[in-house]
Amino acid sequence: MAEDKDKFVDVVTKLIELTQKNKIKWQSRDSSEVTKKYPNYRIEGLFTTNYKGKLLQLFQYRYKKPQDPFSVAFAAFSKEEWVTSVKLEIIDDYGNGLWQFPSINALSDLFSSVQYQLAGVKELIDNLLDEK
Amino acid sequence: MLEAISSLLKKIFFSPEIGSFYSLVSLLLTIFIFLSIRKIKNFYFCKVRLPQLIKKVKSNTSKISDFLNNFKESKDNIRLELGKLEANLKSLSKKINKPIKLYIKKDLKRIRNLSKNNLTPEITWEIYREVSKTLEEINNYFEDIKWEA
Repeated sequence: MAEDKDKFVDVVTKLIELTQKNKIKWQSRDSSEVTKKYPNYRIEGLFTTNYKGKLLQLFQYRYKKPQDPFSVAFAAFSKEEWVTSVKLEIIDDYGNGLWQFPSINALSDLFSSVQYQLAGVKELIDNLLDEK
Repeated sequence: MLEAISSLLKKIFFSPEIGSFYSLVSLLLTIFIFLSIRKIKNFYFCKVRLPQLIKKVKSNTSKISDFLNNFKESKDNIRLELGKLEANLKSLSKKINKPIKLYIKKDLKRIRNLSKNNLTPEITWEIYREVSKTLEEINNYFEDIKWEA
């Protein structure tokens, strides 16, 4: 299992690298379909890309952390806790999820890299620095 | 009668055999207290310090990944972040069990081997990738001991 996870870390790191080098181009997409599929999630950005014929979908979401029995008993005194996470999945042409990557820390870095690419931060910095 | 009781008490409390029995009991008690204190210390380490350190290492790797967007301009920042990462990993390695310690030691060696001139995007990516793997191991370890503590 550890070896499997290592492999996924390798894959996600490669995706971050390729995204930063603009070798993979991501597109921002409407999240309404995914919201229908995961009604308990608050989607905070959804991106897709086509890598060698495979459609990849990446999104960040927030969800209410399930409470343990102790917290439920003292619900009036405990605060609701929201957790942020990132999901990467392979989807078909209709947006149906075919396979999900395991949840690993590096996925949030991939999400940041995609945001950085789509916001055009690099171009903005280069243009501003070239300005005379 | 009184003499009999007094001699019995003397036998119980002051005979050499009983004396060694008491030292044995006190030794066992000391070991029990030592183990209990260690357990309490581990409990607080798992509940408080370990999540803090994991968060710090995660933040270091995320910043390194961000800085890699502009490697040339961010070389100094990457060095600075690698320094922080090294300190946090060192702190973690002192408090974690052996198999994961080995992962951390390898990461630390990788960071220490960086000289002033050999910081390249490739080496930085390698450090990012390997520390990310270590982070996954630490997360698994943390999930396991959360229930033990």
